[in-house]
Amino acid sequence: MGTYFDVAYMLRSFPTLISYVHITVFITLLSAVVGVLLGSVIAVIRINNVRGFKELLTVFVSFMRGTPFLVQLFLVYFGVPEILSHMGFHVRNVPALLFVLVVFTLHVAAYGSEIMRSSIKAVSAGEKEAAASLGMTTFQSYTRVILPQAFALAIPPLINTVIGVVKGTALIFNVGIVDIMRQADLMGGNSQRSLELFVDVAIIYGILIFLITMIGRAMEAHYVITDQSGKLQSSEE
Amino acid sequence: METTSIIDFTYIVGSFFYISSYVKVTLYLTFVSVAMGALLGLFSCVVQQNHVPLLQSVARLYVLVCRSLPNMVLLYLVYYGLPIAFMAMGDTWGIHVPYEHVPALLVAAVGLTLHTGAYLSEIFRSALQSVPAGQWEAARALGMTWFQMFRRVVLPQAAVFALPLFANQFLSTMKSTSICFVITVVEIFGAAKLFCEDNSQYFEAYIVAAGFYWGMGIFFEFVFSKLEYTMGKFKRGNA
Repeated sequence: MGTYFDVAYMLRSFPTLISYVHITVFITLLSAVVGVLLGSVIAVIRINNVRGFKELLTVFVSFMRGTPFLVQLFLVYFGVPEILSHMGFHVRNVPALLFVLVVFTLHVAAYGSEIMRSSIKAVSAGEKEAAASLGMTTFQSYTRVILPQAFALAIPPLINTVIGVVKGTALIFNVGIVDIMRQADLMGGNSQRSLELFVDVAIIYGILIFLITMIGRAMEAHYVITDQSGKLQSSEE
Repeated sequence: METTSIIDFTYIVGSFFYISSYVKVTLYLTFVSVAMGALLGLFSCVVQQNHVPLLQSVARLYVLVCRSLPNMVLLYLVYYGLPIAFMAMGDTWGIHVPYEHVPALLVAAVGLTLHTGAYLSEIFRSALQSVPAGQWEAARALGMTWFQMFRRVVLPQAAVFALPLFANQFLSTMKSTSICFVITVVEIFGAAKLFCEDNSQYFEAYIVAAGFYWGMGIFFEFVFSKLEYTMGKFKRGNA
């Protein structure tokens, strides 16, 4: 072994590895969108003290936030099919990607619900009263007045959660999905030069996270709410 | 499989006892990497705060890189990089490190320390910045040395600010230890996986593993909230 680090091999492998990035991006986008929507619903249910659901969701959120992502992934990927097969359903031909998507979505929903809960509470009471005085139903006041503002407030922490999801996708190769990590692992097995490949992987994740940060900044600039001086502007229109 | 019930409780109990003997590995990894990470983070933060030439650029780069990598990738980089670094050291300076036998636990601790240190560095930086400049100036006006100013005036106030964030990072590192099974360290999650391979009762073993993490998280949250309460007297405005 002449050199410790083969730069030429690193550069040569980069295009192959980056061609697997679509799986990471797909999982991140889908679970971010669905997860945030689900998280908002959970937050609204918990704030409005919907009987029965509230306690259940509190336990759910605590569980998702209190256990490692990897444990949740394995619990759903290995555990749920086992439980279902005891109940007489066989789900062995369901693709692994579906399980991964479910876990990520629930994960984002749990973390997102806590973020949305605090930002819904941060929307001033006057807004809620104004919506009620206009004769809006609870549903209308949430969808038209409260949630849009709460969402705008929640963008920076939500982007943090999405970055967390991107980092979490580095674990899904454990359930047999061929993504950047698995590909690097396989190629490293052939070439015995894993370090170069994982440097490539690190660069790809760096780029992804940089892009998400940029998207987050753009969204923050797009959905501006001015201070609490009473003037409220949203640049959507 | 002759069992008829959906969840088999004998396996729940079995995996509980099997896994509980590996809790110490998780705790050991957590404490070591948080302690070393705190030292690393404090160093990197102080170096940046005092604008030490060269070192501050290194510290910035370190924080940027280690915060933007998934810790799985970081762990793999250490796993494959550490033996090569040792080998290079042996060849250039003649320092022989037995790189063929780097224990997995060491690799895991180094990887998690790098990860935790980068996050703690940012937490400490924001904590130091939360102490207003007037506090430094007042301390200096009383004729304190830098060390006295730091220890008597700034540190207690900064620590109150940093404690909740530190607690969060502690819990997050504790959960991160579960990825170490990939590099063959057997801790709570690794034990659950081994238990499954013997019994193929996946749900039972993983739900017990999840329960361990959940319980430990709640326990440490309680400990930190007690600590926060005790340190509350240093909170600004509490006189």
